Amino acid sequence: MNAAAGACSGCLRRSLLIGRLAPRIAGLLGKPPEKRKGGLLGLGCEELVEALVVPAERHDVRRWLEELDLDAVSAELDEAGIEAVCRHCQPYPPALAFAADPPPVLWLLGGRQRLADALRAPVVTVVGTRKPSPYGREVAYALGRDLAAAGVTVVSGLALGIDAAAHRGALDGRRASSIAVMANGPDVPYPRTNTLLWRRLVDDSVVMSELPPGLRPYRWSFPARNRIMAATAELTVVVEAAEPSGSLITARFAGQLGRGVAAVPGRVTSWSAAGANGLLRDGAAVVRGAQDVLAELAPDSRAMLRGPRDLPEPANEVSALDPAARRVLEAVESEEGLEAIGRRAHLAASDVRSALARLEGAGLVLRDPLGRYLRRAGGRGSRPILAP
Amino acid sequence: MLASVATFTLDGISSREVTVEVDARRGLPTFTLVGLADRAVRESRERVRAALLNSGLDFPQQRLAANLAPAHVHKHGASFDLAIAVGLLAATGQVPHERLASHAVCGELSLSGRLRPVRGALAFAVGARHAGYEHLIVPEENAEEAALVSEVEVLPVPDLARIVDLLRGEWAPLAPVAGRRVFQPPPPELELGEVRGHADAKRALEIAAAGGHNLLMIGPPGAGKTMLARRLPAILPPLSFEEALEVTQIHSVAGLAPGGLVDRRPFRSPHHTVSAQGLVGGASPPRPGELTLAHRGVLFLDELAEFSRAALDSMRQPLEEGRVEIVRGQRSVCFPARAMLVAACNDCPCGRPAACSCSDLELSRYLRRLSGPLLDRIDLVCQIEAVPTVELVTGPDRSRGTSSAEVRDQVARARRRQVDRLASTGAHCNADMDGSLTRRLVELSSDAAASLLGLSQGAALSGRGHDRVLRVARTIADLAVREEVEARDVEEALGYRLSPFGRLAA
Repeated sequence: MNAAAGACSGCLRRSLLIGRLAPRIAGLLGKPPEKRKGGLLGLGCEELVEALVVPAERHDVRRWLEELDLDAVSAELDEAGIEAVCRHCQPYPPALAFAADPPPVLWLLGGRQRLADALRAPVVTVVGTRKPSPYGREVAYALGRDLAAAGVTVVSGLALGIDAAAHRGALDGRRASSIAVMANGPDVPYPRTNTLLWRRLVDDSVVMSELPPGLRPYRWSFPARNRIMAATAELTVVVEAAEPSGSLITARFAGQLGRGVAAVPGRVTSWSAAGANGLLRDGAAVVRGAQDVLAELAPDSRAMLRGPRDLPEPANEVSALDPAARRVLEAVESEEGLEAIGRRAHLAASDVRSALARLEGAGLVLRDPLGRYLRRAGGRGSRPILAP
Repeated sequence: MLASVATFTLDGISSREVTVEVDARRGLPTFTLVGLADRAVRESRERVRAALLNSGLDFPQQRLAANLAPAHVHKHGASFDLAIAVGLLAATGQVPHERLASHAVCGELSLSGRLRPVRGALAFAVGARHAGYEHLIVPEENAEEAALVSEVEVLPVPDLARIVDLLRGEWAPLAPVAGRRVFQPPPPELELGEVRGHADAKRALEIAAAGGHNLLMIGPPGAGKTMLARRLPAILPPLSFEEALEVTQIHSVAGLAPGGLVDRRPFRSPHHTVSAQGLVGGASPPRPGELTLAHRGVLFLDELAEFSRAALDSMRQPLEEGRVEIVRGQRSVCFPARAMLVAACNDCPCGRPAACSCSDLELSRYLRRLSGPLLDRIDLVCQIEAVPTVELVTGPDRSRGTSSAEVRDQVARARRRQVDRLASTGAHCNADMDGSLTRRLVELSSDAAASLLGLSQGAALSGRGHDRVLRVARTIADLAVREEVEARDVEEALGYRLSPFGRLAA
């Protein structure tokens, strides 16, 4: 099969040119946002060359472009298992094609068929900080898992923190897939910490990028990636975001494109939730869980959903608890340290330890690496989210 | 004329018999010393000469040769002075030979002829008993320690002149008081009952002390980790006599013994700049490291994350086996190292709980530095939280816990149960049990077995982790004076296990 068959030669050339000129874009976009020239990524080849290349070198770049051997490129892509989809071909996300400055080509790992399947379902983008609190991580994971279980495609950016948790959740939720939009070539696992997750996504789902294979990320490519995430989805959910942050850029893109923006409330005293709380003040929809997201999606897409099938009632598990465990569980709502939990529950240290072990076993609380305890978000699954 | 005198040299923490042969004959007046002696031993010629002359004895103008046999063993230190001097006196006929067959000697000489104490007197006494000597002549300062070995008559002697009298049968020293216990009451500020709050940490200390389990305390700076650890010695169970002998011997070899039986469990807290050699022992001649000095006691590593990786890694195998095998050149020595490891570290690399902005990546990198095989040996992990100021100021007697003495009694009772159970197995406490011993001796009630099975599935316990939970549960049941381990014991033990370190989702 021809890997580049999903893209016309003009688009391919333009995308490869963007890849070649990526370092120069970095120079140009290093300026503060208000001084940047917008729409750069939407320019045609000739305009790109004029905008980014000094006159003396333009000739060389043009000749490189003319001599570009697309057959050879296509063969290399075949080799690497990468496919290209341009905006004139299926299954380029229709929502993205009509946004401003659509990427000429999306480079895919995981296959066109999977992307097409994923895009048939309602699409929701989940983004957030790279330094989440355990709470934010848990919410993002549960959101990803429950949305996927409900048949929603979860888009995120494979960054550390919230993004990774949302991807993990979606992969664990199974029914629908998860799309990772990268700020570098799709074949470059970045950040390296997420290599295993990237591998899982490539194997079971879709990884895509505007930048051609092999490219490292640039400073400008992160906001550029955010515009793709915002444009691809009907709704962007911000889980935990500081102010200012890349997640807020994604939310702003979504707002400009007329897509929905929603946010998960965080503590008002926490700087890492300031961005998300700010969005809520500005009128973003409140998300307490997957149900709120499903309610926020357009009615017709709701009709497509069968609803979150397998979200059991955690209340059953709670009612089966012994009194000590129930008291400890209540204390965990407001405290996270074992000592403080014990004080609040008025129990001896040894009883608190054993109750917490039972609760952890029942999947009702989880423990972070430092031994702090946290109430798990409702839903099934006693699967620890901290497992690799 | 030829004379031979028995003395000892240190070999690890035990001793080895050395025979000093002295030959005196007519010729040019020289004094040679042979037999793999180090510098301190060779210098003893000068000390011996001056000590003899200053004691009013005769230093012969003859051709003198001293040989330290066996010749292939390295000899070091100044404890041969006395044996060489006595050999010289015998070889020149100044003291009779008869008593030398049943007397071993050790001691360093000062130029005045006084005897100075030596390191390892207890080990020498053990060696003397082993080699069948009836009497051991030692410097006065070493007498009490050496007298701990009952089968050997220890003769404390102040100076060289007295030895001459002794060997001529004209004087006999007073027998030393054997085994006087050096009891140092714990300093009053280290009372556990004065600690406010920290109920959970105190419980963890109690369990650790009762079973000899390794403990890691994690918490923000200033929360009280070090403060708590310093109170641990006050609740440790007493040493048995055999254990006390082991500890005394080690401390004597290291030159730390107060003279007499060391009666309290050692508490060592090396600074985090300690080298691997300093921690597990080394150098030439091999000397015991902190881990050995903490044998039967506590090795406290404050700021665990600041220790060098090499130092921490060097403890892996010793912690597993309870001994350190050191090979230097052609000799190897083995030091005992059954210490309880207590470690403390901050909960994030920046150490500023109020203004922490450490990213997950930094945090996971920090935790990964700690993780690895060393953490595999940690039985109890306990998070230390800062006690709210309100409680420090106003929460007085309500939170004032049980006193050190009460906890120590409970701990001692739990330890006695373990000693009874573990008699003839070679293990001294629950933490010493190996895998097969653990499975043989830890009886789970049917509830406990079911609970362990159910909870360990979610917790992804390894085989080693499983044994560790069993050992800790055994100790918890011992504290509660129960022979059968119940479900709540297992659950509490599970609660202390290591969180999934290093597996932090990024």
